[in-house]
Amino acid sequence: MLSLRSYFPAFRSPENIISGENAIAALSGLTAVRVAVIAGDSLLNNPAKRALLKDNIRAHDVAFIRKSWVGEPTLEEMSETIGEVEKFRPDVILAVGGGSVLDGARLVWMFYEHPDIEKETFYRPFAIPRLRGKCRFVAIPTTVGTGSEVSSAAVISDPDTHQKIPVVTHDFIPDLVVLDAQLVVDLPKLVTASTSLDAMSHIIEGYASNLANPVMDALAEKALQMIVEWGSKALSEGGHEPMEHLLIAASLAGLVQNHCLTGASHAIAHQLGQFGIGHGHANAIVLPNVVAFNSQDDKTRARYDRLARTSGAGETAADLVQFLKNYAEMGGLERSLSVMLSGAELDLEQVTEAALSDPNARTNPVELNETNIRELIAACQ
Amino acid sequence: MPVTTPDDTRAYSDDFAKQLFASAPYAIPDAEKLPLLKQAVHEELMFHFANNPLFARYCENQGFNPFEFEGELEDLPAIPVRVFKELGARLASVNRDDIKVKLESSATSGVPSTVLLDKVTAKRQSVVMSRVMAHFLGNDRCPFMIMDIDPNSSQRAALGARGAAVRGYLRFATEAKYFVGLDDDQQLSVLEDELLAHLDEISKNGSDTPVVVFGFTFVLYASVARKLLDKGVNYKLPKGSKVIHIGGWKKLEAQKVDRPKFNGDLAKLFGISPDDVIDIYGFTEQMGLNYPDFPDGWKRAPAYSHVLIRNERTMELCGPGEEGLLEFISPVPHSYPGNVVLTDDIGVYEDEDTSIPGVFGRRFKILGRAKKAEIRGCGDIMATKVVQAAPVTPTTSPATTPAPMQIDTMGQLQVLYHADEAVVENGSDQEKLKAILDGLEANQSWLRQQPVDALAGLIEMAQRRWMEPDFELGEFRTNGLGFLAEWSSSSRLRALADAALKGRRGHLDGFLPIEGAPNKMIRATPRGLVGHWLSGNVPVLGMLVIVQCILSKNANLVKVAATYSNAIPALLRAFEGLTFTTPGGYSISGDDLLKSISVIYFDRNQTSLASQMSVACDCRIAWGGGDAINAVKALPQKWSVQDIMFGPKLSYMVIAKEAMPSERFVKKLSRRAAVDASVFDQTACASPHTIFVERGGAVSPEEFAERLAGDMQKALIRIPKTPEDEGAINAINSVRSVYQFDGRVWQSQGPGWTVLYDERLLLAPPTYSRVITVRPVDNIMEAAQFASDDIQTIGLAATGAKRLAFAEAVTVAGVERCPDIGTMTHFDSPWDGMFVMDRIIKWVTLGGP
Repeated sequence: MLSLRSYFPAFRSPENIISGENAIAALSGLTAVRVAVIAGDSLLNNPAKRALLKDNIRAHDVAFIRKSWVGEPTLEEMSETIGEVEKFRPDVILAVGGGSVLDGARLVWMFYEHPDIEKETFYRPFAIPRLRGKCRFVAIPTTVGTGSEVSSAAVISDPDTHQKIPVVTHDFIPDLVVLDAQLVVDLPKLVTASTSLDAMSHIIEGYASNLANPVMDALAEKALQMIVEWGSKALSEGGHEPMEHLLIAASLAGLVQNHCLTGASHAIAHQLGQFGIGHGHANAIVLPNVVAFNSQDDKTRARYDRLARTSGAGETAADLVQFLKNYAEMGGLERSLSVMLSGAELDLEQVTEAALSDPNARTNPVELNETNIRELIAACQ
Repeated sequence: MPVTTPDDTRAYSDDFAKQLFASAPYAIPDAEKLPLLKQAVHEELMFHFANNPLFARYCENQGFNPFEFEGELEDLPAIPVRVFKELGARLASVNRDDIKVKLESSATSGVPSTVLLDKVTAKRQSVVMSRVMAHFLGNDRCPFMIMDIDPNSSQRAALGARGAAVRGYLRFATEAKYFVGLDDDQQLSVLEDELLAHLDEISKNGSDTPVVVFGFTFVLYASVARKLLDKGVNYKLPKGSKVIHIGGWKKLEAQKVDRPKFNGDLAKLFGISPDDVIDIYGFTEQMGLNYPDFPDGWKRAPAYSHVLIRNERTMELCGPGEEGLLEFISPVPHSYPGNVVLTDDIGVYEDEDTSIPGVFGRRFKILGRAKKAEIRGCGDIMATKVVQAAPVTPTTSPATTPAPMQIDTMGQLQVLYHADEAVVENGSDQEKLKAILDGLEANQSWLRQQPVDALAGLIEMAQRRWMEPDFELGEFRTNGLGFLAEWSSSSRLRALADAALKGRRGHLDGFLPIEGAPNKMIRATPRGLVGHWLSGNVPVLGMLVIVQCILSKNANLVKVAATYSNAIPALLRAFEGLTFTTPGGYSISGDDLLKSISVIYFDRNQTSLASQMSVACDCRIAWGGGDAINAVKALPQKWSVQDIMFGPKLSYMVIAKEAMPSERFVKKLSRRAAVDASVFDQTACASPHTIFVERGGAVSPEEFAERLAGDMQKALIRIPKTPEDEGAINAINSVRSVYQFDGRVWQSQGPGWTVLYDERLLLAPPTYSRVITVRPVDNIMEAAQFASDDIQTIGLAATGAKRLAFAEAVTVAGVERCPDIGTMTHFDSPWDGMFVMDRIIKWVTLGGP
């Protein structure tokens, strides 16, 4: 219906996002013939959760297929899962899990529909031929932060260059997203903390990004407000209601990220994965320093101030920084990069260069350069 | 040559003509005749120039001024016969009141020629005809037995234009009897009882008065002679009797009847010498001038005309023994400018001889009709787009040219590609075909299990081979193979399949839910065996559909035509040894796939094989002209068969004034229009032959034509042209001549491109070969009246609601595409008004009602 030749703020979301009490039951309304459920071990080895899914899917045939990769996969690491999918010939792929599962399942879907697609094509943003000629895609997140369930991207690893390449197409946005707290209620505190901090980084960086727009502002403000209101309870007590709020907030945060991209925190955090520092945790370390750094810019600081007020985190950007630090501490996350590196040598030049070339560096509200990236990394120590 | 106004004071003189007409037909040697003839013809041309504005315009366009002419006969501008077909009714050189007869040809070849006769011309015709016929029949009249319908009978309507020709010969008859009528099927048939009774009577009476049997060549042979000879009839007509026949050999040649057989059969039937069977050549544009065969088999130009032969390609004069187009020069026509006529007939001459004492005049023979450009079907289109069966002019044959596969056109079943050749080595043709059909059926079960995207991946691998430098059809890379390869890329095929199959090609792999009907599912199952009937010049076109058949998991039996190149087998061989493996590890081999495709040939007369193939097919796809399509349709078939028939279609272009608001838009449109009119040399059914330009734009329609001419020249460089054959050159020259009489012509130096302009509100008949006609309209909706089921594409440059209104009007009338100008020949889906893939599958359901 819409063919845009230049950039305009737009709103793209899954056709359906189902939430609320026992949202998983919405799967029974899914018109499908063969559903391939792609998930990780933790879910597949949990009979109750398997049953929860199976009982609600009313397709002719359902196959539970184990993801064959860890983290951000290479094609080779995915081939086993792709083979299972090809054999089963689903018309719906239902991915259940954290960011790694949801992202990887998207790539499996792409290779299922276009088995001869070449990296020269899928490495180029928006160059992938149309999806859904064979299969539709459903995402059910089991963490509260990645936002992968509403994303247009999936990261693939290049085995030759060891680069992580975002594969981007809006066709990746699922047909259906189910947000059901039953699947996250037993999340370990550390995972809740790191993933919800990842969500907060999507909110705060997206809110300050060069691509921010009023529609996304509304989502960001609401999402952060939900985390401020329910986050500490979720960390301290857990429970269905707080986790449900975090789950929804994370999806809203994911929408913000998908539309506005992020900023310096993500650009640097992406480089810390190689030291075994999880993505959410890395953002927990870097984000407060980035907010402080970007606050040098009056306009950006004013945006942070507003976000702090609307979310209830405080009155100013400084309050926002403090909230992030407190939240990390409450979640038990170490905030010192030096400690996290535990003696590993950080190649400052390589990390700086890589961070600068990360796509998210381009949408940071303050222009980044080698010097300020180095200063930011130093501040994280 | 600058043209001056004719000197009105100079009086027309027919002295030279009279001298010629007074002569015996074959009594004057050329050395004496030709100077007289030249002067006589020159007088006529000056007369036409002074009295016929259209002819004067033609002369000006030819740079010819008869009042300053000092050249030879061969320097006079000849008028192609097509001019008389299109403009004959307007070509009077005398007052309308003086026109006594409007003569039309029998139009056996389509549009009739028209000539306008005054008393002078009619008398001349009568004189020269009498003199020539008297030479052959003698001065005494004799009884005529006419092998045609009696013009006074109730069946005379079926006589048509043959009636006028018959009447022309009656002046030599003392009496005329007619021996042909219509049978129950309304076909011409000999009135056997009457004829035999008449012949009996002649025999009984023992009359020694010679008789003349007269008829049209084909009717005389097919409707009379053959039928009687088959029954063993033969008579002996009185001494001196003759058979004379007119009308041409085209139909008999198709039936493999040559002159010796014709003459021999007629001589046998009527008991005369074969030398007394006389074929008479003549043509409407110079009616009255008859050219009968002499006993030595040659015709001779009488005192009243001369014959030249011109090279079909260059129009240069041919020497003795060289074949070319016949040009006749005669002073006979006075009321219309038909004195120098270039015919559509091929002939050859030899120098004047003295082998028949007292007979002079250049001797010549008619060898047949010049090759004609015919309306071509979509089949031709894609063939040209993809690969032609053979180079048109094999003067330089590149080393990479694939050797044409040797086909014995009179032979039986020939298997040109079949994966398991051992299966078809022995047995009768029917048994071999059965073995092929059995093999294809057996392999369908394998094919049906293959995932659509694995098949697409395999095709992608093959299409890459097609584009490899050493691929055997490599020379066609820039001539269609590139298009085929690009068209067959997996991403395009997937998009094509998605578009054709309700948005999801996954329907080919299994049941999918129907949105809005939760309990109902559908899937697309292959129809089974698809039979392809390719026409002579469409071998690779078939591949575009074969690819879709493969993707939809149908087996394929491809029957090629006699004029066949090895293109389809070569394209199929590219699959040999290929294996496509999905990222998930599923493998599919090209060799397995090839077991579901066979390529065969059998002669068109092999009706039993054609029927055997047809009844085995679940879907029949045929390409070509009307005859080819109808032949396939007429074959026995399964009641459930799905037919896809790609017949002949035409296209045109329409430009609204709003699309030309400024010079910049005009430039762009002209450039793009030139591309559409140049790609595939207009052989595509989507190629335009007429451009209707609405008045009121930044330039007038005529100025647009002039711009287009400039862009056609540029396109000729950018898009190299396939060398024209003689038929195309003849057609180009003819149509250029017509517009030199009436209209405007812009043209390349050679036959490369031609832009024509006139103000008639008609579709221009296709000449092909980059001949494009621009015509003005006051409103583009005037051009909508030509939309019909026979029009495939209208390239449209218009805007807003007007664009929509035009498109709605023409598509309702039958037009299938209204693409942007510059993309008319970009083939896409839907194609010919249909999603082909949707037609070669069946939709099956599960659940719901």
